[in-house]
Amino acid sequence: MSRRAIVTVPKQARRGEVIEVKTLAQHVMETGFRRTQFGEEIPRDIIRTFVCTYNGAEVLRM
Amino acid sequence: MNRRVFLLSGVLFAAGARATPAEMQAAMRKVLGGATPRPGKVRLEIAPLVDNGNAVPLTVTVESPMTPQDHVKAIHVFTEKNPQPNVLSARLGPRAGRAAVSTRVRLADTQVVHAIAELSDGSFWSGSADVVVTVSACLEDGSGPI
Repeated sequence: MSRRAIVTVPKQARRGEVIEVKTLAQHVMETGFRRTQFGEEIPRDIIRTFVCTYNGAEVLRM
Repeated sequence: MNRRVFLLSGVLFAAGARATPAEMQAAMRKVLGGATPRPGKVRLEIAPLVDNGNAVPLTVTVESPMTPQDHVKAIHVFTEKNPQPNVLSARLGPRAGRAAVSTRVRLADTQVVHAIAELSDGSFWSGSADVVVTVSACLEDGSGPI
């Protein structure tokens, strides 16, 4: 499956400035609660962990 | 030190059979560890009326200077009626610059969305928002083909 992730940041930032970073990941995010028409459960397949680092130091984890 | 704020646009997951308010309380207790959150400091930005619960933009901001001495350690979001009551837990620190996370969540039904912030001094603060959902997410729980 082709999967794509996009990270958007400002082109420039002053030293010490707080910037906003947007990320978008393509993923099926299958809930695990749906069933096929034959009644078989579709296994859960979701993004479980997201970690953001800056120069190797962790900034945000969810 | 460089300070950064992050805005996430990912669809966070929540689906299937309904959770109950009691399950949400249990999930909150796990985060709080016996502490009682005080109302305030936490602000939820979410549309009061949502047409489609499958991807609802949600921003949680917490009043905090985000310094090494005084910062937000974690932001947690809970719902009563989503099948998984703990919708998201984000851990952050002084490097995050601002105590704000933004994302898309699924909402199973009209309900109250709660957010709890854990501060570096060990205190907990909470906020909430009422959301009316006209088309629910998470209803495809085996009742029909996909």
